[in-house]
Amino acid sequence: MTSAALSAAEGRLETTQPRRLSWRRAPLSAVVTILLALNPVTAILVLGWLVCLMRRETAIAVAGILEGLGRRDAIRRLGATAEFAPLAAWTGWLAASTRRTSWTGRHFGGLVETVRAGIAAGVAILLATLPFTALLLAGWSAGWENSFNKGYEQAWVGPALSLAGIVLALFVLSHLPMALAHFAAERRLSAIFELSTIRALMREQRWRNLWLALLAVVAALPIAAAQILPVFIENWWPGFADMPAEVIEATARRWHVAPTIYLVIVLIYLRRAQARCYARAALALPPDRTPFCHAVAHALGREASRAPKARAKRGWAGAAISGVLLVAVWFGLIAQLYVAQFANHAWWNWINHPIIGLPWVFRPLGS
Amino acid sequence: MRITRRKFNKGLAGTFAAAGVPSLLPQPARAASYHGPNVIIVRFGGGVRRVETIEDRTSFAPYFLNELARRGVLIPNVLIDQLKGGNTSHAEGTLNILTGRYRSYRKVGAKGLAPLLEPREPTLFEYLRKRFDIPAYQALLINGEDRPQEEYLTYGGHEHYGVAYRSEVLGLYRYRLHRLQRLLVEAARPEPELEKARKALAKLKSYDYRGAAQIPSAVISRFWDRWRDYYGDDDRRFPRGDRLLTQLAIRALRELKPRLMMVNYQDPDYVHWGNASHYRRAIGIIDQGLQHLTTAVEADSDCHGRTVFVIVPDCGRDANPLMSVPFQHHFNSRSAHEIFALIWGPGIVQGRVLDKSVDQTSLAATVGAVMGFRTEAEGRPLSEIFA
Repeated sequence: MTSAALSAAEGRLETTQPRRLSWRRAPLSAVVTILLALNPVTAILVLGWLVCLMRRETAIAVAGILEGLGRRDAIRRLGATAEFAPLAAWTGWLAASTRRTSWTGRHFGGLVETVRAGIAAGVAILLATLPFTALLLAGWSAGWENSFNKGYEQAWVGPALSLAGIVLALFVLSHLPMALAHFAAERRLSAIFELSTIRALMREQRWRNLWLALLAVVAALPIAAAQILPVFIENWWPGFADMPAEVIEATARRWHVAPTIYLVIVLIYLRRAQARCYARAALALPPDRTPFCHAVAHALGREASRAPKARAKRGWAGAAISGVLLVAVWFGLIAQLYVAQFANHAWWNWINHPIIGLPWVFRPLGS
Repeated sequence: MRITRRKFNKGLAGTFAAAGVPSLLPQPARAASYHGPNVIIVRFGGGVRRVETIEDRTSFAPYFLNELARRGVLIPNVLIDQLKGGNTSHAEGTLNILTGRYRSYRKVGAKGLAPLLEPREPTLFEYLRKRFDIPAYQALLINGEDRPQEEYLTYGGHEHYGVAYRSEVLGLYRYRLHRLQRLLVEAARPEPELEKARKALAKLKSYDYRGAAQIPSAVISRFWDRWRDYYGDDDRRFPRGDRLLTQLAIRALRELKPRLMMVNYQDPDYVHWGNASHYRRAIGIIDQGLQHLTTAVEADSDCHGRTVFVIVPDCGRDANPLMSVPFQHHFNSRSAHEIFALIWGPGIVQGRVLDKSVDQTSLAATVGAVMGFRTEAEGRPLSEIFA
């Protein structure tokens, strides 16, 4: 970058004021997010919003890494670019994150983007996870159905389906967070299935990726607890089942809202952390594999010149250890799922886990 | 045989008097011969709620509700006492029924999630066999295949009772023990098969830490031999699940003439895994089992008119509105303590609903009084159910 270009960029930094989340708007935004996450249909919007948030975070991370800036300066630096300035602004529910000419586009384009991103992400996650979630559901249902009927002849079917589902789940879950970050950055449905790129990204950030997986599995524990604990409600609230319907309904609502608040907070943190991890890895890959990050780099005038140096080829031992640990960590989520389902079964919880899929905590049908 | 309230109270007084001053009475060299009614206790088991069983519009047990309830006394409000440290589960509930006492057991281990409980107080079988000259094969437990831990319900650890007065058990576990032993004695199979049988037998025996299941009984062995002749060596030909219990009970009625028999149905408990249909279907299967048992008793000249039925769940189930399947478990909730009972047979009032709270332990006391022995039950005998 020439000194003229640098000073021009600094000039833009001084004049551009990206929209930030003001303290006045933050509570409203949080309330909207939580309210939307309370319903499975509107939770698709939250999913889309999280995807937009990941894209923004990826761009900020790229700016920070390439320019060696802190987060605040990286946002300002991103805001100074022509192409990605809208990403410097906080991901709102209404305003667009790309430049729009029309009034409606500027003021409501964000909502359209969120809906599109939510539907695309929902479809992508469903396609990626349904093969194992369906196996887990079928293994559980068919297995116990067969056990009830004492079907000795095909007793192997249920356990075999469950085992296949678990193996597939461990494979998919190990890749899914990075795949989702790649999808969020690239905004292509096919991006979530670009396995070689995703594996290359994971290789670049294997230990950080492992750490984030561990965080996600630990973060899922309170969600599992929220499913399990109602089983014992009469042990600390004797006679609860005999309470008036309004009391039961109010309790059920509170029980639903509390984990939803937790979920939204945790997902904002986890998705942003995953996006930062993705940005680090993406810059080390060729531009044709992670074009968004390289486009941001290009807009910053940095190209690949400030990209992290290609690392020396790693030994197989590190890859094997991190791979085994990653699978072991994700097995923790599967174990949580089985324990929670034994305690408080609901078929939906086989299909969706709010930490990895649709950000909606299942609400009991009976309430 | 018909029991009247007068006979019942007289018998009760007699047995209580005899049991109350045991040291003043000469101990009989031999127990008395038994001439009282036979009793069949049906554990409507695996934990069931009143809603799906005795409530008119929501019951999945039509025969029980529409036919059997008219024949005897339905007690809709049987309660399991809310005791500290008590647990509403199957082994515990069955022991409440069998011993008439709460928490009269000690945990001697666990098999997976299921605790192995050993009764500390005598069971009804022990009371009966000590009082009367009744062989073990006429004091029968019919157990399910999924609950080998219920093998431990055959006798308690009371110093004056115990293994000498134990009950016999009929169940797939016992049959498999018998068949493997027979295979090894016959030695007619190739050596690899025999080796496999030896290993399987050792594994089965390992479930039975007290060795009670391995005490050979000639009559029971002959029962199993006839069973094997009928069904062959392939377990898959047997009725499955709780239907097997019905079949075993019916054959036992015909071949062993039990004086006291307890049928431990259990399959409604499959709902622990979350499939609500298992619960409702299992209730229906028990209902059909009751119909088959009733028909078998009526068709048997030795049983007809001298058999008292006592139907009672081991525990209730939760009614948790915060769960997709509100009755998935039975974790000490109020609903898990709320059960019912139905008693019918000769001398018992017909078509009556006993509109008062009755403790689960009263059933053991009532069975004892009907059969003419005294129990140490916490509950009282239900004299008001007799005509």
